[in-house]
Amino acid sequence: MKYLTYILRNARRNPARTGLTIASIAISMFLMMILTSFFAAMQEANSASRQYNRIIVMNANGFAGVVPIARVRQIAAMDGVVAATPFAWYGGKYQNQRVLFAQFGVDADSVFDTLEEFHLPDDQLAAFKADKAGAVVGPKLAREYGLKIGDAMPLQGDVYPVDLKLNIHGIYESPRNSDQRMVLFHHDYLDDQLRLLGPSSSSGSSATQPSGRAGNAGIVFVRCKDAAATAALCKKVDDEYRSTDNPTRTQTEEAFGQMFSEMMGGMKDMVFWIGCAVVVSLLFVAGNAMAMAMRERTMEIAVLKAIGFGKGLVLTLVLVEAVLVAGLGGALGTLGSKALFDLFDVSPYTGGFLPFFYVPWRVALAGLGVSLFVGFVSGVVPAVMAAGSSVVDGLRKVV
Amino acid sequence: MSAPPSIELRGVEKEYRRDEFVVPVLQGLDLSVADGEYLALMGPSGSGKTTLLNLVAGLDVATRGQVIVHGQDLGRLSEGQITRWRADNVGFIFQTYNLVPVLTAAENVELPLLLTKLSRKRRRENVATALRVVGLEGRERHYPRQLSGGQEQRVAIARAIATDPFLLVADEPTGDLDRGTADEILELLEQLNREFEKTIVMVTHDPLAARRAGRILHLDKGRLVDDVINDSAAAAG
Amino acid sequence: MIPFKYNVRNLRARWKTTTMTVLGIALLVASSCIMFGLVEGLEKSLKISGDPLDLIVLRKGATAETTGGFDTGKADELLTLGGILRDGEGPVAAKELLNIAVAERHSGTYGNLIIRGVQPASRKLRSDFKIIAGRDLEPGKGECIVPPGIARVYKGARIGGLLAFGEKERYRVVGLFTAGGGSAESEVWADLKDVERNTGRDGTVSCVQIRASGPAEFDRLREEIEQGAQFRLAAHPESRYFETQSDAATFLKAAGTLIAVLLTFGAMFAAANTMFSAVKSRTREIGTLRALGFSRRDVLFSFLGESLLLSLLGGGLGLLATIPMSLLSIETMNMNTFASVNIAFRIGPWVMAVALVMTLAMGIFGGMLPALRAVRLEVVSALREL
Repeated sequence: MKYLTYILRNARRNPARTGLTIASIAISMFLMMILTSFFAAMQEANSASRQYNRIIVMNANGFAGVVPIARVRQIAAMDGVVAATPFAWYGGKYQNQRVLFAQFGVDADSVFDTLEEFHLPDDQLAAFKADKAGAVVGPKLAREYGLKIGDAMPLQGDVYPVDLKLNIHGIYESPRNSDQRMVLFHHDYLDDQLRLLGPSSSSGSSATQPSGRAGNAGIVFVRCKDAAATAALCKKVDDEYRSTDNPTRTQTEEAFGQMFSEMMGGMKDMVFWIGCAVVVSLLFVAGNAMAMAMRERTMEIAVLKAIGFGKGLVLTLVLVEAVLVAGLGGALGTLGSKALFDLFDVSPYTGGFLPFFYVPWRVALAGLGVSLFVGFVSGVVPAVMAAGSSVVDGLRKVV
Repeated sequence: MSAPPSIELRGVEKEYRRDEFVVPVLQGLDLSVADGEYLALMGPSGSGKTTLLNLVAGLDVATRGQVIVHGQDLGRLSEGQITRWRADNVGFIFQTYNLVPVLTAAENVELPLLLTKLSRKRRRENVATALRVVGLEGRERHYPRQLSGGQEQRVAIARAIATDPFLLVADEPTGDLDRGTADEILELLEQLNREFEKTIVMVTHDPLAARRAGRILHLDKGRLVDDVINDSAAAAG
Repeated sequence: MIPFKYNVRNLRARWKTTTMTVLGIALLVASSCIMFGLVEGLEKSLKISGDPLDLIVLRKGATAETTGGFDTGKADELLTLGGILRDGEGPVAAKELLNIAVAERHSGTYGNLIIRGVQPASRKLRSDFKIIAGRDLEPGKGECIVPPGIARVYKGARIGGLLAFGEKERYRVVGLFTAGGGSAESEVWADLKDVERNTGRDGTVSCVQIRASGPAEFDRLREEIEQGAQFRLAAHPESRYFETQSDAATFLKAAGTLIAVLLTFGAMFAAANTMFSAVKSRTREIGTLRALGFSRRDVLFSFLGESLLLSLLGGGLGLLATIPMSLLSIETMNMNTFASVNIAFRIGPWVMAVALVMTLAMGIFGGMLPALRAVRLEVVSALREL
């Protein structure tokens, strides 16, 4: 547009003000990106899991309940099931400190068939299978603790009253939006250690592990043949075990992940409201900046109109300027934050809270949209006032 | 002219730098002003009269030469010192009054008094006196926008005399006023010079204003081209 | 010094700009205060009693009650130890058994509730336990009491309702209780024997809570429980236990601080913008003041003062707006145990400090550059400015 020069020049007229407005918006958008991405990234990972056609079996009463290990074989034999593995949460300490990386007892023969997007070189897999006390770890974990293949990884029992002395035989690869900080070991090894303790151990039970006894699969990851099979199998597994001592609740992996974020309850709403507060405050900030700028330009606007610029044109010029400035700030905040988190991995600093963190495109673009909206709203009133202002008054105005 | 010089300029030059250009504004000025004189500075625009005023009032510093007021070489004072010197010695009257819009007339007049050590009571007294001298009793609580142009200028003059400085500098004091009001203001200035013995240096375009001064200086292109004793004024005084 | 009323009146004269800026700042400060109110509330909600003489006994090596269970025989012996505070009704010590089970909220989503099987003394081991509605439960009758946060959010949790977990666990709600805002206010309390029976875990306890009768007894009890051959359990002072549980709070505190810092910068820019504009429109005034004899410092402090006033108004408003939040609580998930936790907003000292620091930072740093700009003006050019 031929007026672009005029508009840009105007924005540059007061670089301090323009700069500050852009900075305000950029920082606020940056913050919004962080808040929103927290939930959105998890959700994206959830929906992405749909393609793997997996379902997860857990005890209907919650994580406290047991899923007897024998069921894994039973489920694996069902029609439509490609592979199944237990995933027993061990929850141990490392170097005698509570840690926030997950440790799971799995079935080495089926785990990498079930989790097809996780890869392990054949030789490492073989070594893992061969050693009962073997383990494979995630690449981020290896980097964080400087672990190499061949290292020992002793874990101290916390949830379970037994320690595990693991040997690392492999480092798996997995997509960016998966947990790259897990430790996978043989479920049998854990069971053996528990049985060694004997039935009359002083361990007793706990709220999350009803008995220190062996034989609990925890949850079961099941890979189904195709999408149609998933729904049918969910129902089939639950029907099968409904009237036993340990009824199951089976759902797709996506629904399972959804369940977790639903447990967060009121937190999501809170974050949403804070986000809203920030946006409204931005409206005030940007609107104010625009209004101040326009107040200083009354004479100039009067001259433009005297020359022959019509109301509509004047209005558009002001509005475009507001939207451009806000949009620039928004772009800096949204795209800048996306680039930052794409390049820089923050998960080690979250203390295991967040296995991965990035800003999904969806969120970045929405943020950009919001900043453009802010620009529009902040510019509307000054624009309308400028368009309607009296030429004569403007020319006469003495500051 | 038997009084010792109150204000003396010796070989004063002033130039401004704009990027790589040097713009000379005053060239080789020598001047002597005695206490109690009423001086008018005239000349076409760009002649340097406002700059000369600024130098005398301690608002600006000469590039070369000396500006000596009451024995004090202004060029030797630090910025802090000259600021204080201004507060003690100079009263300002501007063409556009320059009152603070959010302060009342009385509060505007009080401003320079805040820089002194006077008590609140004394300050109030001085303000009342100043406003009385300029004929604005009863308008203490008015804001500038509630006053006419002439009244605003009177408030400005009251402010200028509030701390009783020896020197009053006025930059086009009647420039924004109509003839009748201008005359009133000029009458006031004359009174301040005559009765209160204020030294007045005034920049003006208005020949009628200049006629009230005791001495008229003409500047052109930064040089003093004429220095005339105004007999008519001396006679009228 | 330039009189302060000059700044006050100027803010009032440009009231539209002032209002917009104050509102913008207030919202940003309020957001930060809410975040920290949440963090402080979370910390409070993890405390059990806060009594320095309290011990929580778990299995050796376990770090949380939810996973730290041990044999009930040992638990019974623990209750007989000397050194435990006694009152008219016996030792101030209790065995407790925890269960975590899925429950449905009114919104249709699910959360995990902690069901704590308690003994009568459990109540004394919580700060300020009170029945606020209905009555306390009677042992052996399958009754339970719930805190208001749970009654509000979960289906069947109001007085007279029935909480059902799985096929076998059913409790009738007979009363509401509060416990000084501590951890108990995120739990459903039932009789120990009922929970043992319903979950089939009558040979074990999750923990034993003990109050020592004095500091010397406190140390002796710890030693006996941890070293004594018959026990070999872990006796954690409650304060230490509380620290380990609040890892989640630490992360939130860090996140909250980061957010507050970002918001402060955002608000700083807003204040600076307004002040820059103020300086610009008052150039001639500033020149006049300088001409009259006010020093650069006077002008600097005057504008800094104005900026501070602006941000104090915003900060004060933001804090005020947050105060009603202290009536609210949100129910969410404890990241450590995946169980429901009820967080009551606490507008305490941390929150006030945050508001104050943000406000001062905004006022000073936001106003600094504009004030410097005002000061740097050369008197002569300022006076000439149109």
